Amino acid sequence: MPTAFWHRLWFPLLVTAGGIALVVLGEFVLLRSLDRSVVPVSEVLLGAGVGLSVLLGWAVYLMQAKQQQSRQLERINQDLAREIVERQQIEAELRDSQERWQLALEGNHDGLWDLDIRSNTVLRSPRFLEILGYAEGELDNSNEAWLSRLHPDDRERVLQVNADYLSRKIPFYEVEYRLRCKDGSYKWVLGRGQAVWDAQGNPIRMVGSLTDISERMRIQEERQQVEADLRLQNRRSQLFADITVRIRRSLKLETILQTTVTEIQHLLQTDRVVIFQLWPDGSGRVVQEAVVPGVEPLLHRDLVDPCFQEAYLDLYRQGRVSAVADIYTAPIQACYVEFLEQIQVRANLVVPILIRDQLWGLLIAHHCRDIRPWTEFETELLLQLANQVGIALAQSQLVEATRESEARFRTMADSAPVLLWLTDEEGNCTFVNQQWQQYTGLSLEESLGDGWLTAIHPDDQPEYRRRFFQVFRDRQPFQMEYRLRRVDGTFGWMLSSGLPRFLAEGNFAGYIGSCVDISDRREIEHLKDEFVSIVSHELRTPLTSISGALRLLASGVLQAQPERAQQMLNIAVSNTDRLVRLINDILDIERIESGKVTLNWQSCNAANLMNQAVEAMQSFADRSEVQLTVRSLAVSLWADPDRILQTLTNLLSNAIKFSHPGACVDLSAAVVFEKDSRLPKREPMASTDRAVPPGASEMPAPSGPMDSSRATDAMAVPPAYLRFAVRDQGRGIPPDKLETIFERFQQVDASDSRRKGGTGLGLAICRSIVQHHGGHIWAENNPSGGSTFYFTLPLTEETGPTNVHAAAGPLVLVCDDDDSVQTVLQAMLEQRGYRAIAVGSGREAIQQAIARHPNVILLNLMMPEMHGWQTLEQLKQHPQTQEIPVIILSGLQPSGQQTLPGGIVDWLVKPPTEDQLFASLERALNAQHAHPRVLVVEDDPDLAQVILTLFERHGIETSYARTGSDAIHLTQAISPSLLVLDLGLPDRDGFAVVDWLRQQNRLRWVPLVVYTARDLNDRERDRLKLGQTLFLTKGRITHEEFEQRVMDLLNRTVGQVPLD
Amino acid sequence: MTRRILIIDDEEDIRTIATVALETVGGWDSLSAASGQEGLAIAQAQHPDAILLDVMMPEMDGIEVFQQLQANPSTQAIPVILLTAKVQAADQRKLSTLGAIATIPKPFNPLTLPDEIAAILHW
Repeated sequence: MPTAFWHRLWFPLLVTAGGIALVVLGEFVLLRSLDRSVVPVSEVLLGAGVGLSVLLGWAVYLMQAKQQQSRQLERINQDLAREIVERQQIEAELRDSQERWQLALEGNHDGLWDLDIRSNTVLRSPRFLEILGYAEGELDNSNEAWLSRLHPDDRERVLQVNADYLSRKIPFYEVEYRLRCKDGSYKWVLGRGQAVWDAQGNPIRMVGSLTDISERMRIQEERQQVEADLRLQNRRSQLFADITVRIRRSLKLETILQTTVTEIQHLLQTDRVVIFQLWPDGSGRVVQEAVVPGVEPLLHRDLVDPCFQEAYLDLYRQGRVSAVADIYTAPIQACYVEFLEQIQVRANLVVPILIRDQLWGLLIAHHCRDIRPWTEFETELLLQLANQVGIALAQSQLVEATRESEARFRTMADSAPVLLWLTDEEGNCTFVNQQWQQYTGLSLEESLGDGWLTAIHPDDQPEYRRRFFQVFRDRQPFQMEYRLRRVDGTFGWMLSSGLPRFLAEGNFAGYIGSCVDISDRREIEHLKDEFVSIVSHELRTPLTSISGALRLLASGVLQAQPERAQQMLNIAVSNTDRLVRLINDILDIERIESGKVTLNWQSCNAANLMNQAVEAMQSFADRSEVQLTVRSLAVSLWADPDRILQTLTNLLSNAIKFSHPGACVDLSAAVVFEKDSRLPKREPMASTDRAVPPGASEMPAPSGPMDSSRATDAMAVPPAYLRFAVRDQGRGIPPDKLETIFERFQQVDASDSRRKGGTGLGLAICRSIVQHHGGHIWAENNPSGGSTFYFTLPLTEETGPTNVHAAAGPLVLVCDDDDSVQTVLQAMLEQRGYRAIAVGSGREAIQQAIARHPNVILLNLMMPEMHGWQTLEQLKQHPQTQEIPVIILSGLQPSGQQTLPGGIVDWLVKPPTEDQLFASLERALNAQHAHPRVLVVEDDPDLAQVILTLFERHGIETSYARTGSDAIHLTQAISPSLLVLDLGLPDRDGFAVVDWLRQQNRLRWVPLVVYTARDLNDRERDRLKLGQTLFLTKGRITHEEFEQRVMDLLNRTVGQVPLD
Repeated sequence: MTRRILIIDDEEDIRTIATVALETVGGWDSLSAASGQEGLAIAQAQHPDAILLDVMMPEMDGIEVFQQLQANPSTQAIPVILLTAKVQAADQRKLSTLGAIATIPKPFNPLTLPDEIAAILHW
């Protein structure tokens, strides 16, 4: 220790040390009591006590001087002794305090300084110098040496504290600041000091200590850093939470993504944050961005990373994070660096955005202006936010899907052809579709909640509510019928079905249901019930009579009353007929209306049908003493001739039934221009007769065959209708029955009608037939009494397809040099199902006869070049043509009464009537059948016997085959003039028999009667046609009708058969 | 005293058979009417012991005839047996609410008809 220093400091230091020693204990107690335990006790004691101990030191010194001056002699002895004791005590104390000071100095490593303010020089202890890194003597004694080493940031503050202390503004000088060390670094120190003032109060000296507090400051700084870090982390967590909340709160994806990038950009204090949506090929688009000014925006740009590979996608799919602090030092591909350079990126942080494990895109932070080492925290934060974005996207997709599903549901619901409704779990209506709203006229709002119940019929509501809420409680599906009010105020029957709805997790969500208008179905059911009821009645009534009559007869109770017995027999027979008619009619109407019977469409002549109908009803009219007149119209129709004939005979039969003897029934036809003449006229002409349009009713009937197109051309207002009218002079029809009589079993007087053999279905069948032909049927009362039944059939311009029957019919060669005769004859023939070849000369006739081998030749006589007789001669000489029957068709009359010249079968005078022509043709075709023979093919021996008896009664030879094979076998031996064929045969059926016959030249034109219980469709009928073919249905026609029609056919084809 | 039964049916054949059944088999007297109107008139004038009434008739059906018989004090005591060809359940239910004594379905057996009537009326 340097001697000079101690010499100068000895006394004050001694005093100071003494002062310190005195206060140490007291201060210790005081400090302890203030509980400033955060600062180490020794440090506080030593540091804070320095000022006080200096002050006390000087006080002791002054007191000692005063004691020495006032010492008196007389107290020398006792004082001396006491003084010795005191001095000894003081010396001991001083010794003691010096030791302590020394210990303190050595122990706390503080530097000491002593500033002489007047000389501005400072004495500094070696420790002082050591703190700053100087050796003794390396720092001069000037105060400037200290001042110049103050940290510029602290200088002003330190000087201010110093000045304030010296001017006694503050009681203590104590300040923390940084001093520059020898090595240039700054060190935190604590400076404390005590000034000495002169009598004038000027500071003359200042003594103090310097404590190295750098370690404390370092710890403090570190703590502050940690605290700052914590605060930052807190802030980040808070921000993350905020973003998450915002992400979770908003369902608007745009908002979420914008929030995300903006927040991240703020948080990371980076230059650009983007959300990049990836396409499967690795390219993609920036869909959201937050970017600082001065950095190029990338929003909505499609970016293609040239070195982005599938492998990267996989890595990102697995949750890879890519953090590049500096693109120039990171181990990345050159192409990637180039790509990043293009978008100004220096550092980047890339995390994947996954939606339910599917890679959707990337969340990317770009640092552009500088390198950026990314902290783990930042990476983690970005990952978490990317997760949130993924969740938000998933939610958004779900919302979108839900919205789409909702939209789809609405579209479906509104386009469904039924009324649909939904309820919530309380049973309140939450939705009704447009059909519901249109049906009921209630808007969606009006229907919601309980509103929809108001549309239910008041009578049905209580039951509906009861059942609905019952099934609702049990969560059961239900179906019920009730009436619902339509928008027009009427009620429709609804079939309402409901199903409970359950959410995916199984929670009940309410009901979904539909309402279907079943008014029509209920109406049909009602009608059906009514029909069944009526049919039941209609069937049981004749059955009652039949069974009752037969039981009475069988029991023998009427043995004594033969007249009664006969009456019973008559009742049984007539009711059996009635039952048969009824069953046939019921089946007929059912088949027609259900479409099971296809109409046998063909070209037919209205005049023929009218004549046939009148012919068929003639005997009935005769019996009823009713006069039947017909004014036929030769118009060609495209229709099913059998069905039209059925309609005509039915109407005629009705008219005759309800006519008085002597009355007249008239059948006529006219071309009209409305399907229903009661409808408004299409033509602007004034009408004089409601039922008959002007110019139509009295259209002159063409003399020859005329097709519909010609008829309509003449009128020039197509399409036209042919309207048939059956006019009677009977009792008329009550006005309220005019419409209903065409309904089933709606006769004007059922019992009366039944007495006359009606079934109550005839007019219904007529209506059905006419409607299936596209026509209309109605009845009117005549002003002069009686009624007229009308029906119309459309006259179409198009002629139907060539009749199969015609194509397969006999071939007729027409030879006439007059073109118009050729045309007319050809048309007439084809009309009747014949095939025709027309030639203009005898030479051609011979050529064609050889080439085509026609069945008949119609030959004109007066022809140029080759005369008819010459032609005939050559035909009869040629072996291939000599057998062909020839009919002369000439303007000349055969000469005198002589028999026909040889080689011809008939002579017709021009113009022949249709009847004459075809009767002649049929005779010619069957000229060879001098002795007609009928082959009956029928497996039921009883029925066969009935049929055979029928023919034998007419003296006709018969052959009988029970099976198809027998029939084929027989036809090889005999040539039948007519074949009666059943279809259901034990071995080969009727179809097989016809197939075989068709292949035999000799037999392919044999007239055929198909007599079967089956209903045949068009295709089957075509398959069964041979020569002229009749289709008769067993049970549908009476035995008498069968006989009449078969004999008609035989007469037509074979010639007059002698009747016994 | 011989029983007298009125048959009302629009079907002549059925009236004839029923007449034979009642007279020849049952040994009773019979009256017959071809319509409801005629039946009502005969019932009021002749007071038959019972009426066999057909349900399905034109103009005035059996139901109306029955109701008029019931409404008329002079005929309301006459037991009425309905004859019906309507055998559907719904029709039967409707008839059963009318209050007629019984219903005999068509076709009926003329040989047993008198016994059936006697059983129904406890004759």
